[in-house]
Amino acid sequence: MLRFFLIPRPVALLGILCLLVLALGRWVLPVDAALHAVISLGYWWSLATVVCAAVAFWRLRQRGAPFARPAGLTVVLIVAVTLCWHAHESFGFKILADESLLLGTSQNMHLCRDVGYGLRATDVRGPFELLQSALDKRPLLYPFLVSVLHDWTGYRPANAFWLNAGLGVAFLGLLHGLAGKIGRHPWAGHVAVLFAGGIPLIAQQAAGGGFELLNLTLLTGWLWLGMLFLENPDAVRQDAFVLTAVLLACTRYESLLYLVPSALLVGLAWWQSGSARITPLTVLAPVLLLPTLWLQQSFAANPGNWQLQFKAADQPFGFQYLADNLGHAVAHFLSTDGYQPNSPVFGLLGLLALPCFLLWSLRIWRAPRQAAPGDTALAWLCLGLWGGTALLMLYFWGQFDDPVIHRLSLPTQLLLLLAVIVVLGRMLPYRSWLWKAAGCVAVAALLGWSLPVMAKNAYGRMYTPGLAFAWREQFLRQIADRQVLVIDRDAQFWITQKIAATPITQAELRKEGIAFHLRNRSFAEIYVFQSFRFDEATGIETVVAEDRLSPAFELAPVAQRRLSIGHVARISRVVAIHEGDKVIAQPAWPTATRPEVSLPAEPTAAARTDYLNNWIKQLP
Amino acid sequence: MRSVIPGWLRPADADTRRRLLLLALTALAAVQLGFLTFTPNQGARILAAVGYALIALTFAAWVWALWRLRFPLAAARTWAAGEGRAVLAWAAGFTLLAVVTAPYRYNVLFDEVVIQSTATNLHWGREVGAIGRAYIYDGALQLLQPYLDKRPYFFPFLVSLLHDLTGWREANAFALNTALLPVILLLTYAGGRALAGHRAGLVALVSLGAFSLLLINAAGAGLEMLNLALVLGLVVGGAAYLARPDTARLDLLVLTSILLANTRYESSAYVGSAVLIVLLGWVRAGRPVISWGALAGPLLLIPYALHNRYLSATPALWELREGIQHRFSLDFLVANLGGARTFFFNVGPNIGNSLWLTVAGLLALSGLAYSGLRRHLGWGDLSPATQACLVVAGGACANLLLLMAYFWGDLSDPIVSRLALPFHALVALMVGGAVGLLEQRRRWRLAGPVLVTALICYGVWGARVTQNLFDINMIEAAQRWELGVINRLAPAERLVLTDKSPLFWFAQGMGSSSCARARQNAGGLAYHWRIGSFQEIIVTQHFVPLGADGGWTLEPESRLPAGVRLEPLAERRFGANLQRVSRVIDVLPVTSAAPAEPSTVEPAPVR
Repeated sequence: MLRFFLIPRPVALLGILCLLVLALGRWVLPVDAALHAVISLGYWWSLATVVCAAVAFWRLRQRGAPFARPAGLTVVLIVAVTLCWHAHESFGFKILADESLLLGTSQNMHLCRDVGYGLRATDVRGPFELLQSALDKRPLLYPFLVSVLHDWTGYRPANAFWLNAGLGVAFLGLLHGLAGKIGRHPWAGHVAVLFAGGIPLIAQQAAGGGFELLNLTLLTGWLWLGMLFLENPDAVRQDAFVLTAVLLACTRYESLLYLVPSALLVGLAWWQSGSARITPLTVLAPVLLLPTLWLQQSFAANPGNWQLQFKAADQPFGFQYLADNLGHAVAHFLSTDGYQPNSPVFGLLGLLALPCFLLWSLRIWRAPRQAAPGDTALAWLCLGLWGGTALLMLYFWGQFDDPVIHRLSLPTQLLLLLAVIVVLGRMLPYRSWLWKAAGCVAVAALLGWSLPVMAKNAYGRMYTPGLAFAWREQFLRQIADRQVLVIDRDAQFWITQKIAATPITQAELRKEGIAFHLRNRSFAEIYVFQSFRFDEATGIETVVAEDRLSPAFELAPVAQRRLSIGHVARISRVVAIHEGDKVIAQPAWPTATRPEVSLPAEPTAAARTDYLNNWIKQLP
Repeated sequence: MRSVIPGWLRPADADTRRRLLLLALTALAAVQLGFLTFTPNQGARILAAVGYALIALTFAAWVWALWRLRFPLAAARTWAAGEGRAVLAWAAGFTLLAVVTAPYRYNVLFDEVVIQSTATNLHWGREVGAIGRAYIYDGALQLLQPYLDKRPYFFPFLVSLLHDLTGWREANAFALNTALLPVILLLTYAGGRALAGHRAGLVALVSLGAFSLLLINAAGAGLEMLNLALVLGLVVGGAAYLARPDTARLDLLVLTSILLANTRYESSAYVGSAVLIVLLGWVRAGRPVISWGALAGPLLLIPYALHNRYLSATPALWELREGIQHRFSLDFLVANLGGARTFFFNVGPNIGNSLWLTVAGLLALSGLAYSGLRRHLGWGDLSPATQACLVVAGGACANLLLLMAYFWGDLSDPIVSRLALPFHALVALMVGGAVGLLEQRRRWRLAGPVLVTALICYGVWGARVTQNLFDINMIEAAQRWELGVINRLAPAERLVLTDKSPLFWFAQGMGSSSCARARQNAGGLAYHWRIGSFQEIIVTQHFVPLGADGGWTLEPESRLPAGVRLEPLAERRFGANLQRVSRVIDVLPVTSAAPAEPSTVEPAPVR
């Protein structure tokens, strides 16, 4: 084996290329240069990656074989599950910051072809323009795809939700194909779709704006293509598999992990067939990963990106978190209180099947050549899922029952689902009624548990930042004129809605700028979004520390909503800005026509330009 | 020295000789009547009175000529079920793309509202001319002060026809342009197919369809879409005529060129292209082919000649900028060529170009020129479609060159870019032809990758332009906002005194005049206020900043006569200006010309 890998020059060159990419991605380029490269080249790199993947999939499609026309019942099941999901989940941001930052990055990609979310924006010159942006730590594939949707259908924030709605269908289709292949029975696919359909978390993601469902869909496709590839290791399947792995690595931070089993599988295929197929797309694949590697350096440049302060942790990964996280994971999978977006029946079956699946996999890992190629591929690729789950169990914020973290359990849930399918299809003796019985259990779990839980949506309503986002959207729909400035710690949300906004801290620093715009009626209104907590004993309201605005801003409440008991969100109007006892700005209609001022053409144009430049400068 | 008359100009039969003589006579009569008999003002009056009837006659003749050449229904069905399916799908897809992504609004300063007002005048009065003032009186919008606008009126005529058939509404002009998009795309396909087969047609269709400027114009109310459709019609009609020079095809060709001349000012250049194609057809047929349409053609161009003379004699219509004396001069050449270079190679979001058509067009041109030279191709070796295409391309290039010498010919200006549409359509045909020929000669399967590349280029550079380019037209944005404010008020018969052009309000079916005119006729305004001619008078005004810190003043065009008291209704910033909509609450009979003092009345919230 060693001889094989050392001798062929193309393999050696590919290895050297991978090492060079790794070096360039991790060490050679200074962090600042790497992040700047992501900002300016990230869009184009993503475009190249998607085009390469499209070419690979197109060539695979030309072969025709893997894409059999789905049976009628399959289509009915997928449509029914999708309808169920969207009947009970409404489009909206589900996770604070993440989803609006992804949308912000897609907005910048759409408008400027740069990577980064908008910090300051204006429409003073007509079109909505981003004046300043910042690079986000999240990988680029999902925002890129949303930006493509913006390009082809017009910019609208809902495009992020529509993309996920489409991905939901694609996921179910791929899952059906994968499960059918693993279970070697048409009903295996139906059972998998029914179990997945009964997981409220997937329904929530299918109506949200996050990148989790893209990750899950690509994972499913990656497993399926990996099995196809090892069964018949030709160049076309190899390209499709490798490019899917690259797409996956560009979707979520930890998905880079899946590159390891991908490389192992390709190596195994070459070893088994005795020849290495070095295709142009395979050579290009490592190069396409460069921006993702560069972007990972944002964690080194800014340790705050780990958000350790949220859990008062001192390091992101460690064994000290393991026991606690395992407990939370079990609590999430088996919870029956309706406050977790889970399916306890599926969770129980999955957790029971998991050790059996591990035993099945161990047998293959020990002797890969003795198993069927598809099984070998599945077991080897599932190393990635095991590894990902293990990583999360060692993560400081890896509690699956935390509303912000639920979504990270999706790859683990896929692992549970595969375990159930393998146990039913491979480990238990074949009985014709077995799959049908499993299908009945899945339907019963879906109807008896998941639908009421989804309908009640307690898990969504418990997450107050999500409710606050939904209320902001509702408020925005109600105002007659969208030419407003909003002061809000989540200013990014407003910018993605094409509304000028600034964080509260920035507004405090740029009080003069806000006064300028208030005085000159730059905006129909200047609003402030704040959260308040009520003291249980006294009923006295206190503004949340992050939302505190100095008394210099005179506010008049406009709308208020209770987010949870003792927790209220309020939107107020800025009616005046004070400097000590003196009012320095108030909205006022121009009252004097100043007929004494002559207006020759040139000076007016110059005054207008001066004003315009100052206007932009004064934006907070 | 004895010159020999070529055989195709020496007909053997007496009938053809008579027709040739008649053609010469009608041409002479057209020159006499169009250019020599009437003064420009007389010509304008004649045009206003009979222009509608003449364009209606020409259009009816064109429809009849087209009907004579219609496809058999069965053949059309067979085509639609076969290779036509992909063509129709692409055309429908691009039309849907335009409808979904390009905002429906007036894109080009006042052009489109002038066209709307001409169409309204044609619809209600059958009179050619735009409207100067209009008031709602006795429940109906009364059009006053019509004047002959500089723009040819075939497009307004079609809009008026839509008004006739479906009822008057502003949206008809937009609907017509959107409906013209699939027509343009199908004609592009037909042109490409005639050049080098089905796949060449598809490449031409997609290359042109994935062009933001085309999609923007499909959601506008300008003349450009009709002009482009007729230019492509000339290519397809010319190719058909050259392939089989008969009277039916000749009629269609001649009438298409006449309608084209009546669509845009500079499209008269294509009449020259049509004449050349007619002569080429005679050469191919070996005899003069003269139909009734060809005989009537010169006479049908008389309205165009009268219109053109009126425009040339009325400098007020030229819209010259300050300090510029002539419309055309070589002095503009250098700056305009710079603008053209910026336009063709732009990658930014503020210019509606197609980088794909520029690059692929240059490659196709070089390849075709190299291949032609290498194979020593002469004019006679070219196919009828190629000949027709080249002759029409000559017209498009002549127009583009003329534009380079025009005072407002900077293609990188969004207002001017649209004039490059015909040129781009011909480039798309050339790209399609080049790909088709390469596929045929080298057996390469190029069409698929070329289509994907064109689409990617559109997605990357074109799509955001389609959506955002005309956000820079803040006059239109302000007018739409004002309309929204007024629409939220209680129903009433209103007069709108505007700081901009009143034409926009005519297109909304509202009476309107300008603040400047109200200032000039302060007594008239006071009189109508006194006798209550209008249920409500709304005023739109804007304030401009006096310096970096603001310090607002009412812009001169917004000022009203003294004694007019206003109640502000709504106010909004557009760019660096503050736009205000107010309601007149009193007009005092004053004689002073000082500007109006603003009201101290608190604004009522508008819901």
